[in-house]
Parts: sequence; structure tokens; C-alpha cells
Amino acid sequence: MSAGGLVVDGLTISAGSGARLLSDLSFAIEPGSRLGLIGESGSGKSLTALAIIGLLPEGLTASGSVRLASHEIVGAPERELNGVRGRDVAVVFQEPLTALDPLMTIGRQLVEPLRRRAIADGEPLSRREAALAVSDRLAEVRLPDPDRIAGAYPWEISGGQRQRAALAIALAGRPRLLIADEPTTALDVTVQSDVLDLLDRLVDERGMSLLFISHDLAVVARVAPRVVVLERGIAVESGELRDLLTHPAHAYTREFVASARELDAALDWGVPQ
Amino acid sequence: MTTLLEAQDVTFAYRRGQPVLRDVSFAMEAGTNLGLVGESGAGKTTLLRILLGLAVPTSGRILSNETPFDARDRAQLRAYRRVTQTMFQDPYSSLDPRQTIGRIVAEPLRSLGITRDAGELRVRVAEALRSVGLPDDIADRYPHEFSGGQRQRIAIARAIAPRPKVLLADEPVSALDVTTRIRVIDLLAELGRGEGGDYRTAVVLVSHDLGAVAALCDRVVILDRGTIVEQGGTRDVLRDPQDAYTRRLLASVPRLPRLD
Repeated sequence: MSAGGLVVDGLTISAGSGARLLSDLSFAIEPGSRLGLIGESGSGKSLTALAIIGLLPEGLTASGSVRLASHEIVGAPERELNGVRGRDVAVVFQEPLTALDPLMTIGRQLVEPLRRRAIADGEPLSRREAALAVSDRLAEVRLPDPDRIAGAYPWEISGGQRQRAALAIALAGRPRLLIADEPTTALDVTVQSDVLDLLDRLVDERGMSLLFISHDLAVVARVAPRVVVLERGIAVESGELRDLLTHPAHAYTREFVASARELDAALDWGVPQ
Repeated sequence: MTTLLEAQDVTFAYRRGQPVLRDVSFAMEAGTNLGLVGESGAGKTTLLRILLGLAVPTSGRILSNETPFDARDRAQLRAYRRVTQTMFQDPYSSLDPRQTIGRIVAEPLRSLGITRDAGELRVRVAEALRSVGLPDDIADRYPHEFSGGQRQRIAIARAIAPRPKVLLADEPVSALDVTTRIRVIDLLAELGRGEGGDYRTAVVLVSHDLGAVAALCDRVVILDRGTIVEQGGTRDVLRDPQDAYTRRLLASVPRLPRLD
């Protein structure tokens, strides 16, 4: 698989007790294409993201295969994974306040991956170039007054601004695959809408592949045409989102789609009289 | 028709600060559910604190059952709590893990002095559990044995045990999965219709989730930065929003693609 592609084959995640948290998950993302991973709490969707970047919590083990660029992630040594993260794949998490380092300004957290990428490309940045690059990247994610934001700590800016900054940091290493794990769930609905537009545009402009993880069908529908539905660690259904909405095949998907439709329909009609 | 709960020109400012609520007025009639909608910074939490009697308006007043209510007066607060109960967003932190379900649900009955008789408490707890669709034999079990959706049902059972007229529900379904969310909304709707027993409990749903509000509430109040920008019948507001912020909010809600 060439740059940006991801092939997950028979991925299984087990706890020390032997309990299976994810069973035999397989899917592929072609370079430059998008996939939505949909599931409710406990479905294993976030664990899947962590397994793809080789960051499963202590006590959990992965088996099967995750092929990313030319690397096999499952069982890879930390040294190899360090080269993969940031460059081949980056992640944006749900809560930027916990994902960002509270003791470092946004600018410092952004300049590090920018520098690393520049060194890897054989073109190290001067201090001045680095400062300019930080400013550019913050402007690219539509942050107002990039210089002020660069000097701010995560807790000094709003939730929406933090998620934009987290996106800039994730993209700094020019990854070919972006994993977005519930990236807008913690945001206000008007902010969510803007951040989804931004994510959609940047993934498009850079020709990145996208794995978008969410519990919200309507949010996934905005960014990913094709989906996998996870229920308690098992992929129960996959395919085009439109087909899934019209002809859900699995009992779980049917209930899930019907519930989402009911809430969606209420927005058109209001409370049933 | 009785006005169960009313806010009249409620303004609230923290000491020396700018007001976080300005001239907020709305009324809730018996038999209707009311949605209070807003994003962060809208003033929802402050308004909820005032409606709970935890804060007192800087100016303006709250009326309960058409009578002015002063939260600083202990007797009034007690009477108010009998008719106005509450439930919160997080079903994991809002139930005391060391207490049995029976004790949790009986708590408002005891603290409001409605009854202390063990036999009567048991009957009232069983009745409350049944009306939220839970078997009454769970009274001896503990919260950790239940899922998030079941815990929200237990929280509702606790809130309705004193048979309040009004249930203040603060994002009651936001932490729940979508399939569970629908069931809890249906349950709240049944309370308003009096299907839980021979009394009715109207819901004030405080939420950022327009879908949930649309599914439950007959009337909606839209708050933005401390003021009401629009209020009216939910259907009218959804179909023909008058305020620019309401329009932007509605346009931002992610929708399922239309398939026809």
C-alpha cells in the first residue's frame, strides 16, 4: 500500500484477563480516501485509533495486522513507531485540553513537529523561519491573531480555538493519514460546524486520507461517504453511508439509524402532537 | 391554565461583574415541556442555578405556581423543592455509589419530610421505579450494577418520587448513546402526559442539543450571551426562526442526508 493508505486486517485487542475488546476488525483506506468509524460507547472505536498509532494503554495487547505506509504497526518497536507518528499518521482527539500540554504555549507545541519534519526533509528551520511557519499554520486553521494564540497556553483560549490549534499541530508533520477521534464532540454546535468545514477542506487540499471516528451519524455524514459500524468490538456492517441509512442490514444498525432518524426528524417537525 | 414556573425580568451578575443574565422572562404552563437552549456562555448554568434556588437573581424574580419564590427563605425553599425536582447530565457522578437504589430514590421523600415510614417509603420507591420502566426489585442493588441509561432512569425515579410538578433536567441525555437517548426522551415525555401515575410532571430541559429539545419540548427559549434572543412554540421556532443567532444555530446542527 502506498503513502497514506491504511490496511487493518484481523485486528484484535485483548485485555490481560483475556477479554476481547475488539474482535477481528478489517478495513482498508485507499490513499486520499475517507472512512467513518461509527459506534457508541464501549464499541472499541477509540481503541482502534490507539492501536493504529501503536499507543494502546498498558495491559492491552493487539494482534492481527495494521499496515500503514510501509510499516507493520502491530508489534513494531517504539523506535520505529516514533518515526511513523506525526509523519505518516497523526491524531486529533476529542478533548484538546487533555491532548495538549498545559505547561507549554501553543507556539512551542506547534514548532516542535514543524522542526522535526523540516530536519527529516533535510531543510532545518532557522529561528525566524520557525516563527513564521508557526504563524502561517495557525492562520491556516483560521485562528484569529495567530501571534497572540502562539504565545497563549491551552487553557487561555476557547475550546474551538484549542481544537483548531490541535489540528494545526497534528498537521505540522504533514501526515498522509489523519485520524480524527470525535474531534468536535466537546464543541458547541456552531463551533463544530466551522471545525468540520475546516477539517474537510484541509484533508481535501492536502490529499490526506482520513479515518473519522464518531458516535454521531449526522456528523460522519458530513465528512465520510463510507463507514464501518462497530458494536461491542465487532464490525457489524460496512459500506456506503447512504446505503446504510436507507437499508441497514444488521439489527443493531437498524436501531441505531432509526434512533438517529427520530431525533433528526424532530428538527423538522418539532414534538409529535 | 396554571403557570407552573415563571421567570420575570431575571438579571444576574456576579459581584462587580457584568450581568451574565439580562432581563430573562419566560413562563411555563401546566401540561407543556419547555426547552432552554444555548451554547457555552449563554447563561444556561446560571439560569439553572437560579431555578434550583442555589442563586438569587440580582433583580427580577422567579414565581412558582404563580407565587413569588425567594430562595433565601428556608421554608419557601423547602416548599419549592417539593414541587420542583432536578436531574443532572452525568449518570455516573450524580448517584451516590455507596447507597442502594432504594435509599437513593427515597432520599427526597425523607429530606423533604414527605414520609419517614419505612413501609410507605418502600411503596413510594417501588412506584417511582416502575414508572420509569425499572423493576421494583432493584431497590437493594447499587448504582455500579447499572448502565448509563438505567442510571438516568434511576435519577428520574429519584426526581419524581416526591411527585413534583416540574422536573429541571440539565442535559439529561447528553452523556447517553443515541439509542438510549431516544428511550429516555420518550420516558420524560410520558411523565408530562401523566403516564407515570395519577400526577403529571412537566419537564424543563436545559440543553445545547436541539434534536433532544425538538423531540421533547412544546416551547423553546433560545439564549445567547445572557439574553433571550427568541422564544415560542418549538415547531414555529424550528420552521421560521426570527433571530439571526437562532438561524445560525439551526443551520449548524449536523443533519442526516436527505434520501429521496
